[in-house]
Amino acid sequence: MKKEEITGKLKSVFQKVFEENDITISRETTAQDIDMWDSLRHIQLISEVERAFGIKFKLREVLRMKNVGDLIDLIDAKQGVPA
Amino acid sequence: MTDQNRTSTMGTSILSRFIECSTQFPDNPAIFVDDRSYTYGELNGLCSAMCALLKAHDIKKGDRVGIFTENNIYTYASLLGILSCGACYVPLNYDSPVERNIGIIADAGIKVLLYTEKEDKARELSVSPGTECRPLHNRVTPNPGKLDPVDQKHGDFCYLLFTSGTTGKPKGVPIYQRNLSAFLDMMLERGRYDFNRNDRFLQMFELTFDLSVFSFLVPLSVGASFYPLPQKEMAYLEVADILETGEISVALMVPSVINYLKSYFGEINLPKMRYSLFCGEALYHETLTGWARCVPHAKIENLYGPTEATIFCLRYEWQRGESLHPQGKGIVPIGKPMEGMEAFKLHENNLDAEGELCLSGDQVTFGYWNNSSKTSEAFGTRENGKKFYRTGDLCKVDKDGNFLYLGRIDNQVKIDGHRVELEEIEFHARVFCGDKQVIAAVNTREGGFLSILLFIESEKDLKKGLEEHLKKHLPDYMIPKEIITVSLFPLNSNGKTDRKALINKYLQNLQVVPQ
Repeated sequence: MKKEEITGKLKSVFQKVFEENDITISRETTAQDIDMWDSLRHIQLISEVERAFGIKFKLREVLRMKNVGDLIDLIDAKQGVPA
Repeated sequence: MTDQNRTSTMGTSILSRFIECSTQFPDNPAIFVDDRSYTYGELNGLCSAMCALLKAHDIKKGDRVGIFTENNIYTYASLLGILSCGACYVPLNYDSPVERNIGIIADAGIKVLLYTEKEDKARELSVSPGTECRPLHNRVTPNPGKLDPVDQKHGDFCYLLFTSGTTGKPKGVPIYQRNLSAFLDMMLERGRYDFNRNDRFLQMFELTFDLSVFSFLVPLSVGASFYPLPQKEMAYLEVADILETGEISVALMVPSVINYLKSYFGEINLPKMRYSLFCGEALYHETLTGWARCVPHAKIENLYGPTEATIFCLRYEWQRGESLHPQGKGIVPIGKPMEGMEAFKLHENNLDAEGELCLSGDQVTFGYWNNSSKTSEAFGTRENGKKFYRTGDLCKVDKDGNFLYLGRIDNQVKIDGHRVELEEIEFHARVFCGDKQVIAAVNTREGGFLSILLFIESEKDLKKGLEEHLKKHLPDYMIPKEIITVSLFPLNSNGKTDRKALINKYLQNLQVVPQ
């Protein structure tokens, strides 16, 4: 899956978790940018991403994610597909 | 109250231990914040300067001083500086709705509001009608002189914390020298805990939450250091990070944190942890069993206590390999009263029955701030003349004398350890919705996380406007995760709204998330 496809699929995951159809995400998006993105939503998001992409994150990896860009790169790396 | 004028004796006053530590170990690290460590000497100098600044601004004993809970050294210096003036600190979350903060400032009669970076927010609060407080920048330079607090008496205020109130207005809980002294004496003098200057404490709590007082004042009283959380969002991740990188040896946490970290237990290894303490919410045996493997050398305890009884006052030492308590509903017992405190069930006629947990002792405060009706509802006098506080928690006592927490007798819930009165949410929702019926409830989601639901009896969908309205009046953790519009609430046989049926119907309609 190319990074663009990852981003597209990720967007629908966000829409589902935040129950918002007009949510927009970019590489720079952080928890501060989206309303009500708290610990509970974060857990739900990580869980949904793992489910949607068939991957599992390690705690270290989740800790290092500072923005959506980091998340995209990580999903990409775990898929083993070059960008 | 004749012992109001009793002076705290040297060695037991809440600041004297800190001052002694500053003299004995000036170069020991005290706080790790702002990407660096500050020593006892440095902190002492900053506190001294804060105390001088406050006195220069006419702050006297008994005055209430507001402080934004910004995470930096000046905030902590301010707390100690305020206490050394004999004044009372009132922490305010600068992200809380303006209206809520204004209400607190007016109710508490705050004269000065300390801030470091959040100047605009401080000014916004001080120019609003109803408040007469002055914003004051707290970035001070250290005083070379030692901190010299005023004489502290048992009747002096220490802090005033506001918690969720059923009437829509936050309730103020004042804690006095007598209460806090009793807590510190119990923690540090009675030999139960061997905290020492090599310990590194986690401080994960907002300063508006009294568990923070344990996390910063106890280490400062023994020459140890503490690590405050840099940011409160994704707290569970920040906590996991600091526990490891800071090699934390004493961690007081809310049970939610380990609930969030459940799926990562296999990756967490904290050999340096000596005390893993929990408080603030129900602690589940199963989750704790998993966590215990992450902290192989730590003593694990469940602690219990409302803000009204100063931080905590019941303890239970959890043993590895102990089985689930048969009467506990999956929850770890809250144990027995700590030294100096008494716990009993209201209406003690039947030893085996459930009853409301009541507390007596020097840690129990005298009443709510400026609220005689709430005070008379919750505080009483026993036959022997002792004052007691009704916690609203339902409990049972087992054959070993351990108290078991069984739930609330009212509609208060804990969200990540924060006290939330569902009626407070309903109050603000009703203001927006006019005369419509509203019901707030909690839902336990997958993973055991609690989230708030709000039901409105309405033909129209009022969600959008309502959510915006609630955000103007309630802190983030009280905003309902879901607002559900129902055209007609189900009624029970008495013709009253059937809360249970309403929630059950909703749960049935929930889509099951595919595994």
